[in-house]
Amino acid sequence: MTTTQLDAGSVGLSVLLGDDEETFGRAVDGPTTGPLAVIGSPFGGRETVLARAADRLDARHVRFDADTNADDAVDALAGGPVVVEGCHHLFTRTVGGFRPLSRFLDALAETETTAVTGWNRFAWSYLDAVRGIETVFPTHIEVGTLSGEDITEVVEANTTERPTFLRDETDESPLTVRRREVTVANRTVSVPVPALDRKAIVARRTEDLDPKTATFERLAAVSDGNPGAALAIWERCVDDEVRPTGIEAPDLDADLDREAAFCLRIVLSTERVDRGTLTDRIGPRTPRLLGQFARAGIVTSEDGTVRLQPAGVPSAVAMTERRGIL
Amino acid sequence: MISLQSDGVAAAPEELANAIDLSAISDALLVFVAAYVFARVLTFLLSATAERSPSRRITIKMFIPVVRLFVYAVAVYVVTVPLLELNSTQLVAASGLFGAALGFGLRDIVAGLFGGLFIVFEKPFQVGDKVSIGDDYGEVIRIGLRSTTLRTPDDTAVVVPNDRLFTANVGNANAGSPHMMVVTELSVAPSADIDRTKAVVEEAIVTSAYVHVDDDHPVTVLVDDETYYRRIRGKAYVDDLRDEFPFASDVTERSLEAFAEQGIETPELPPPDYRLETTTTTSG
Repeated sequence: MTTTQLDAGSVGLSVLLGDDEETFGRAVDGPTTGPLAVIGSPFGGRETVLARAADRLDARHVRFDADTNADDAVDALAGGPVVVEGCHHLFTRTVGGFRPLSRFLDALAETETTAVTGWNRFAWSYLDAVRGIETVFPTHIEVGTLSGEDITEVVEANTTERPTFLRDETDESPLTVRRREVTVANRTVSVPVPALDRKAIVARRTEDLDPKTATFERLAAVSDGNPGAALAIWERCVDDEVRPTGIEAPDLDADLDREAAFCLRIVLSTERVDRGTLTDRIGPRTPRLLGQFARAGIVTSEDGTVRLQPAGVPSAVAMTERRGIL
Repeated sequence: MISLQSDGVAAAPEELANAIDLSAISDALLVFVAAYVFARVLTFLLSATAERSPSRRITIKMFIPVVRLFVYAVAVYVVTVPLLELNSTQLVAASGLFGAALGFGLRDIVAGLFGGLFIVFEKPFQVGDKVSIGDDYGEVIRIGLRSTTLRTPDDTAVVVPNDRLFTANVGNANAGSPHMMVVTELSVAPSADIDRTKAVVEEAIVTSAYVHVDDDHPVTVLVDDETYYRRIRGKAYVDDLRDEFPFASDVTERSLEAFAEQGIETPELPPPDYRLETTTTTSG
């Protein structure tokens, strides 16, 4: 399976859409009221929702990518109901980079065809801030996050391994003391600094739950309730045995500066991007940054395309939002 | 520890002098040194925590001067009240001595201290804000009881006495928010297509890595018609006020690049004979 298109039997629309399921039903089953936007995190089940929309509308299912130009995008709207995935590929964060998107939105505003469009959540929030994209869509629905119980169902439906679940045993206090060197008046002294032990906190928090529930609650927390990310993290962390503290998303060792965070945000909001386009925007540091992200397991870079990895989504979100990148 | 009884006001200064013996002075010094070290450690911890969280940096740093003031106030209390055990007569005498010292030599220092208290309680600015005090402009990196330190755009630390707050104009560019408006100015020739120029500048702004845009922080592009050129002013907020200059530079650089690509002319100097004529007219 792919991590974007979840097993149809494992997760229903009601789980993915929550309260928005009704809106979705009205939009695809009722009379045409304008284009619908389906917004979701990378690998978070957006494609599953679009596939269901295509089935129910008996519509063409089109996928845009970085090579899609403005004419192709406008042409896709001609002739009957259409479901379009990857609308976030219609712009780049450069001067002049919004032209294909503007033409597509103009065409979308005028079309009488039922059009369901799929958008990356981070690209959508950016476009809404700088272009007010919400005004083009009378209806938009958001693919939500999954609970620990839902994540359990997704993982069990999509994997064959059944590991042994173990409880975390720890006597250590969540609060530890680390020593840090501080220079005062040209003298270096070692100062005790309180620090939190993440593993001990997880162990304390889950000690009242049975090991399986605790493990999947931890997986839901680490993956931010993103089913694609949860599956990838599961496959990465789980062997014959698994403990809650063994569930960890890939992470970078160091904080990112603004340029690095911006580079990562572009990959996060496009999900896959041409390496040359990224280099043109970010500059000569691009290869080193991509190497850093790839070593951490957040992206891959092959055949001139940089791809976001499902397991890296939670870290990419956390690091770019900490830097306040739009 | 010393305890004295006093029967008359006239004898108070002498008794006060007796009360402050060597051991009291050494104890007081010890208390102040401990307070100094403790304040430095707390400042370091708060600063380190603030720098790890760019979005909450200013919120955390605003506690630093308050914490320092509190530590020093406790130290003063510990020294003056329980350590010296001054009675009301001795307190009056001490106040008299303090008043005389104030009048003769410590006036500026005390004015600075009151300025420091004014900053702590009124909060005209906080650590981390970008401010101008008189002719000085920069990021507030330290608020002391006597002075405030600014880091200028050229990375020079400028120490401004706090009493200047009472006499100089104080401007605060961000008022405690990490976001700050930056105005980027560019010029184009009068013949340039203004709509296209405005679109270029706006796109250069919204595609910058430094920008912050939402309903409360919009992007605006304005045009001024000058004699030999048109000035384009792009007004937008940076996510982190420390990026004020990198943002302006980024927008300028990418706008000029796009101007060149799209054939948008930038202004040229007026013809030499006109400049000569203007100069002559002015001096004549």
